[in-house]
Amino acid sequence: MQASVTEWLDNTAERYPDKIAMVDEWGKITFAMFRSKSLAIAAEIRRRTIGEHKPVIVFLEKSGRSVVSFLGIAYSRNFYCPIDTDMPVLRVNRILEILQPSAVITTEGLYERFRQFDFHGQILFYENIEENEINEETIIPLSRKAIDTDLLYVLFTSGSTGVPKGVGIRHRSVIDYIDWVTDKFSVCEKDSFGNQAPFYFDNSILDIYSMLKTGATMYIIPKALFAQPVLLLDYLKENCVNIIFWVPSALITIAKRRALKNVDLRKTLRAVLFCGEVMPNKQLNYWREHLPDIIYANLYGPTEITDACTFYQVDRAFQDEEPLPIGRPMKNTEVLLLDKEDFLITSDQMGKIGELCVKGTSLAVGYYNNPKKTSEVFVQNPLQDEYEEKIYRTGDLAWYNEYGELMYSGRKDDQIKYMGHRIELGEIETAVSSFHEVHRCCCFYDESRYRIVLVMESDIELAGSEIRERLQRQIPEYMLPGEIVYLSKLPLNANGKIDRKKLKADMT
Amino acid sequence: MQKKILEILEDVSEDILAYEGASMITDGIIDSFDLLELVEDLENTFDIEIDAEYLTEKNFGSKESIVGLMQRLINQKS
Repeated sequence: MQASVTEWLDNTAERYPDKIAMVDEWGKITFAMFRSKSLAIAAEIRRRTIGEHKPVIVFLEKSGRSVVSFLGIAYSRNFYCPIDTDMPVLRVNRILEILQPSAVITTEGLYERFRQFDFHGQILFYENIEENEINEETIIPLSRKAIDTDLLYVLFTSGSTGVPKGVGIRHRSVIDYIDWVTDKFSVCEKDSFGNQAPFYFDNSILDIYSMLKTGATMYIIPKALFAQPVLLLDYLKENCVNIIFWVPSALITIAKRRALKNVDLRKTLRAVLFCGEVMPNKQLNYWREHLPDIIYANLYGPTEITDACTFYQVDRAFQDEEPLPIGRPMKNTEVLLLDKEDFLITSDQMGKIGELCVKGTSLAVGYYNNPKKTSEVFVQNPLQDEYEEKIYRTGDLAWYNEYGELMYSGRKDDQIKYMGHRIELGEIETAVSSFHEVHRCCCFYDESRYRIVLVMESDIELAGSEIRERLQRQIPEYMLPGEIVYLSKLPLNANGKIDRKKLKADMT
Repeated sequence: MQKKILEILEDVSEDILAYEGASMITDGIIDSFDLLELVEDLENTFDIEIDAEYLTEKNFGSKESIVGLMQRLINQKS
């Protein structure tokens, strides 16, 4: 029988009990400590008769303790949902309303903030959960059926109407994805991951579960280092971090400031993986010039397909202005490129653009407690009329190049990627529209300056600081516009809707 | 010069001017992209090069430390 994620931890803790599993700003956790505390959390959840298959939220600073809690929840046969401790109250309350969590794991220190939320479940303080002697007989492995059906986590993404969507991912999806990752990049216990992704962002799945399965170490890099490129590279070198899986924004900062000349990573770094937004070849070429002998791989995929579903391992030279392929499907996933009439575009139809749709074991079960949104994008495969088979319509457009590799071509809608975060511009606009002074507003992303621009028609010109302060109550920090512009009249299209394309073209 | 620097800071983010502490990066007032934009604006305005080594909390932790760094770099140049 294939091992579950909790069995990965059982096995790794048995093989490498004293090896460091995670390093964060507060210290180090060995695999034995990791397992012991996770089991204690599971026991506490059982003692509180919370039940099984219930959502449990984790409201902790980004730390090893968060990951220990995730596994504790998995051991208890429930599923976890990490909540960013800086997330605005309104947004957290929207998430809680959808999720109806049975319990939260937090700390007494964070409780002052947590109590502002509209939460009615049980509260577990991490520091008060005592680790007793482990009774191994009480640990029953997850059945094969449960691996295929039970949720492991729910992660929330931006929703265009202002309501976030909770993507429910099963154990099976994570197991298959990590099997592929660890096999493809030959991950073993000697490896060290430099984690950048927040735990509410699915890029972190690769770091967390690769560590868990293989016994590698995960360094949870302090966020502030990402704005200090030389110190960040020093950190990687000092800790012998050899695999990084970051959003391109983090790699771009290092390239733009030419920081690799300051720190020699040739003897330590072996793989640079990236996902979450477009990686420009101009910046990638800078990395390749300084570190020519390491693996570079572009992974592509939305949260709905467990982090990534296609990849391209960089194997040839690219001009600075050329786009990088998103490559080919990973094991256990299949990509269908469908045209407007839902006919399949094949790799010999080079250059023809279609919507990228995915099927396979990496597919989410859907949006938690949101059957309407689920049915809009998790649909019956139009190429399959014999039996039920779901595909996910990503909304991403793509085409095949002369190598038969997929090339990303943009979005069907108004979703953008900013510093790896997936943002529906409609969510920002919904928040701004709640201001009584505003008649109309529109957002667009200025790729050349890496900023979200908010354009408004308003009775009065509100100060930028006031707009940001008001928005911060509704949307996360990373969604706040970097520039605010007032216009007497926003351009409209023939249907009377705001002409976003014209607005962007006029202003950039 | 100080006035011009403060204008650039305000253009990147009004929060920078309002911030009174010394750990603007750790406190999340500016992220890596804000810093990139800020550094590029400072380089272009004052025709200097700010090496990656200077991008630290010590130099970019507050508006005062940014002004201090710029004064040093401009003096070095002349």
